Amino acid sequence: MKKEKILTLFITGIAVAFTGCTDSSEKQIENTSKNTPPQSAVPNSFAEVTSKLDTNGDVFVYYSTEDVIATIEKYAETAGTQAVKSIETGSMEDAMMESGMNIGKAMYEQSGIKDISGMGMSSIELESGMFRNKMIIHHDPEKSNGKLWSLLGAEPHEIDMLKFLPEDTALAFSHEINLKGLLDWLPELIKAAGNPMLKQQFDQSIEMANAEMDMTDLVSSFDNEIGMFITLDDSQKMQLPPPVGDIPLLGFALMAKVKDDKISDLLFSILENTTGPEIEKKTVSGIDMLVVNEPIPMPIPFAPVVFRLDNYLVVASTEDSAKQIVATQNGSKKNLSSTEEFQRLAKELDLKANHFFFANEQFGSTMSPILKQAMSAGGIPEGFLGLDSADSYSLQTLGVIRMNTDSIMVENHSQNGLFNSVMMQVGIIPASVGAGMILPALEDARERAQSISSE
Amino acid sequence: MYFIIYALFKQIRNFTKMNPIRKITIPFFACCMSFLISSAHSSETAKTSFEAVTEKLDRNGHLFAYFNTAKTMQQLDQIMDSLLELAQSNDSANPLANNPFIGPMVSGITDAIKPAYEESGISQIGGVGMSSLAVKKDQWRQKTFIYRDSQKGDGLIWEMFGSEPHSLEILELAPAQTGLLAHSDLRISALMDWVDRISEKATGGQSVTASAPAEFKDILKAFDDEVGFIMTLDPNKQLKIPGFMIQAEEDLEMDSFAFALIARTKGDKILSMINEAMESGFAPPQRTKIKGVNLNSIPLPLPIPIEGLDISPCYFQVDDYMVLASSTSLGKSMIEAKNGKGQITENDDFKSLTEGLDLKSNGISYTSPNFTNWSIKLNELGMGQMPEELKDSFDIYLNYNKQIKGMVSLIKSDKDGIMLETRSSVNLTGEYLTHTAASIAIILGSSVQQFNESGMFDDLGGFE
Repeated sequence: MKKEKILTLFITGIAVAFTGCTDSSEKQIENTSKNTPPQSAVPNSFAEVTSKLDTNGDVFVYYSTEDVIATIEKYAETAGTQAVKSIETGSMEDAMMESGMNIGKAMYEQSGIKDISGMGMSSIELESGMFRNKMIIHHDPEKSNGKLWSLLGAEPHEIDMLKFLPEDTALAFSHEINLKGLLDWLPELIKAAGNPMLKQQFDQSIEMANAEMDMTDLVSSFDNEIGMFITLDDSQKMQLPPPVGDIPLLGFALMAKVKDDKISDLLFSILENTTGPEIEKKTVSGIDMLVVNEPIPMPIPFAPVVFRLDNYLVVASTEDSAKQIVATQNGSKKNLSSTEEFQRLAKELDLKANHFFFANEQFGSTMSPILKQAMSAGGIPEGFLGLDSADSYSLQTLGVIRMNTDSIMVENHSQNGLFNSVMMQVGIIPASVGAGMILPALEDARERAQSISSE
Repeated sequence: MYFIIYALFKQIRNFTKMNPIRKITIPFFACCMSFLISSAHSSETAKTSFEAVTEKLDRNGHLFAYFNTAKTMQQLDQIMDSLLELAQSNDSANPLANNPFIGPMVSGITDAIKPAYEESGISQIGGVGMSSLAVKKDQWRQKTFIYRDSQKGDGLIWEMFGSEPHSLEILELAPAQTGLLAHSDLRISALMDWVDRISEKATGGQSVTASAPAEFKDILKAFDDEVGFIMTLDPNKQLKIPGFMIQAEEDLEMDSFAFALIARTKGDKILSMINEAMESGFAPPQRTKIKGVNLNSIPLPLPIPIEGLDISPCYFQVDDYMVLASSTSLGKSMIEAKNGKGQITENDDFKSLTEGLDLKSNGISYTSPNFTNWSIKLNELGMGQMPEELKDSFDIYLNYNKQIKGMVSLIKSDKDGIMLETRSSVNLTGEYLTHTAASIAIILGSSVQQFNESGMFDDLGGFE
C-alpha cells in the first residue's frame, strides 16, 4: 500500500513536471490572446481560416479576398463591355461575342469564385526534415452553391486507390471530379448564352453522342475518381539513354473508379476491334484482362493491360504490373501504406480526402541524375550555388485536398517547407540556371565576335 | 520512460484491489501523462521567430502574414559565395576573369560585394511579418515588421534609420497646409562607416572618408542624422497651367504648391557655408528677420511664367533645422509653425489619421486628402488623352482614389527590428493594391495604344 502511494505520488510529480515542460508555444499563444487583440471593424474570415492553420512555423498567411474580388469584378465588367464595343464586327459575330460574354459571365457567377472570402497558408517543421504545409480557400458555408465547391468532390472520404498501390510506388495521385455535375452544368451555361441557335447545336451534339455511345449512361457509370501511379522496382534495372544509364524498372498504371461494367465493356469492345498490336483476352491472377502481346517501342517497358478490379478500371503498363496490382489489392503483397516512408509521411495526417498525391524519396533520387544532366547540358557546373540536385528536386511528399463545407483544404507532409520549396523551385533554381548560363553565353559571343573580326 | 511504464503497469495490476476514488484518480493521471507525453513530443519543432514577429502585428485583420527568413538568408549566403567563386575563378572558360579590361573591374567589384553584404545586416533578418486591420470602418492600420536577430551582430540597415524611436520635432516645422511630408532619421555616419569597412576589406586598409575633401568632412560632422521633405498645397490659390504647355485644349487649374528640403544640423556650420557660397554668386540673398529667424531669400533672374506658382526660394536655420524652401511664404509659414502657430498637428485630417497613434518614431510620411486629389490631377495630366476603351476603367480608379482620406506611415527602428506602421482610410493590401495593379495595366494598355497610333511601329506590323 505504501509502495502504491509512492508510485502514485511519483506519477503525479511527473505529470506536473510535464505540464511545466509543455508551456513553450501553446502557452505563448494563450498569453497573446489574453491581451484581447482588437477585432476588425470590417467583417472577415480570419478566425475561420486561421483556426485551421499551424502557428509557430516558417510561414503563416491569412488574406481576406472579398474586397479584392469585388474590385476585380468591377474592372473586368467594364473592360469586357468596352472590348465588345470597340471591336467592329458583323451582326453574326456580334451575336457570337455576346453569347461568349454571357457564358463567361454565367460561368463566373455560378463558379463560386465570388464566394471566396479568404485564403490562408502555413508551413511548420514537425520534426527534422518533415514539414506540414497547409493551404485553405475559404467560403461562407451558406454560399456553397458554386460549382467549384461540388465539382471537385463533395465530402472527404477514404482514398480507395491506396489499397491498389504496390509497396514500390514512387509517385501516385488520385483526383475526384464530378463529371456528371460538369455535364449537367453545360446546358445551364448554354442557356445563359441567350442564343437559341447555340442551344440547338449543343442539344444536337448531345443527342448524337448519346446515339453513338450512350454518353449520358457512360458518364453516369463513371464514379468521379481518376488516378495514376508509377512504381520503381529497385531489384530490376532498366536502361535509359546515356549518360543517365541504369534506373530502377519503371511501371505505371492509370485508374478510373466505375459504378458498373459499362465503361469497361465499351473499352474492351473498342480494343478487341482495333487493328494494330495483337490483343489477347486472358485470365491473369483470376481476373479477366485484355493484354497487348507485342510491347510498344518506348524507352520504358510498355505492353498495356486493361482490366476491371473491384470498382476500378485499370490500365497497367505491363502484365507484371497488373499482377502486382492484383496481388496488392487482394492483400497477398504488401501495399504502399505498409512502408516506413509512407507511415512517416502519413503521421498525424488525416487521409480522408477527395484528392491525394504521393511522391517518395526514390522518385526524386531517380529523377535527379536526369535533371543534373539537363543542367550540365545548359552549361551549369556541378554543385553550382551549393545546390544538391538530389535535395533540390526531392519531392518526398504526401498530400491531400479536402472539400469541406466551408473550404478547400490542401494539406501535405513533405521534406520541404512551403516557403523554401517555393523559393527553391520558383526563385533560386531558375535564377541559378539563368546565372549559370550567362558565362557560357558570353564565352560563345566572344568567340563569335573574335571569329567575325578575324575574317 | 521505462520506469514510468513499469510503474503504470504495477498500478494497473493492483487496480482491482483499490478503493473507488483511487480507481478514478489513477487512470486520470495516466491519461494526463499520455497526453502530456504526446503533446511534449509534438511540440518538438524547430524554433522560429513567429512569436517575436507576430506579437508586433494585429491579429483578426484582412491580412496577417509571417515568413521565417532564416533559411532563405542561409541560402542567400550560399548563393552569394557560389556566384563570387564563379566570377573570380581563373578557369579558362571564365570570360570575365580572363578579360584584361573587364577582369580587374570584376575582381574589384566582387571583392567589395561580400563585405558589403556581410556588413549590411541583411543576414540578420530573422523574419518578416505584415498585417492589415480595420480599426474603424474607414480607418485601417497596416503594419510591416522586419525582425532582427540581434545575436548575429550589427549591420548598416539597423543603424542607418536610427536605433530608438523619438519625438518627431519635424512636426513642429510642418505647416497645417502640408499635403506631403516625408522625413526619416538618416545616419550618414553609419553609412560612411559601412563604406569604410568595405573599402578596408576590399583594398586592404584604404579608407574612403580619410581621403575625402575637408569641406565634405565638415558637412558630415555638421549633419545631425535627419532629413525631410515638405510640400504644402494652398486650395485658396490656384495654379493655372496654360493648355498649350500640356497639349490640352483648356488650361489646367490645380492647388498652388510649395516645397522645402530639411536637414537637421549641429550648429549653423552648413548655413554659413551656404551663405558664403551665395554671397560670392550672382546676387546676394536678401535677409529678413521673422520671429528671430534670419530668412535668406534668393532672387530669381527671371519670373516663372505660370500663374499662381510662387517660386521665391529661401533658406534659413530654425533651431536645429536647416531649411531650403521653394517660396518665401512657405518659409514664413514654417517659422510660424515652429513658433506654435498653424502646425500640421492642428489639421483635422492629420488629427483624425493619427488618433491614438504613438508618434514617437524614426521617420514619417504623410499625404493629405488634398494631396491625393492633387496627384490624381497630375496623374491625368501625365496620362494625356486616355483611349476611349480604357476611359471607363480609368474612371473607376480615379473615383476610388478620390475617396482616400490621406495616409500616414511611421518607421520605428529599435533593437528588435524595423516596424513600418501605416494608417489610411482604405485597405492598402486589399482593394487599394488591386486598384493600383489595375491602373498599371490601364497605363500600359494606353501606352501600347499610343505607341501603335504613333505609326512608329507600322513597319513591324504594329501591336495588333
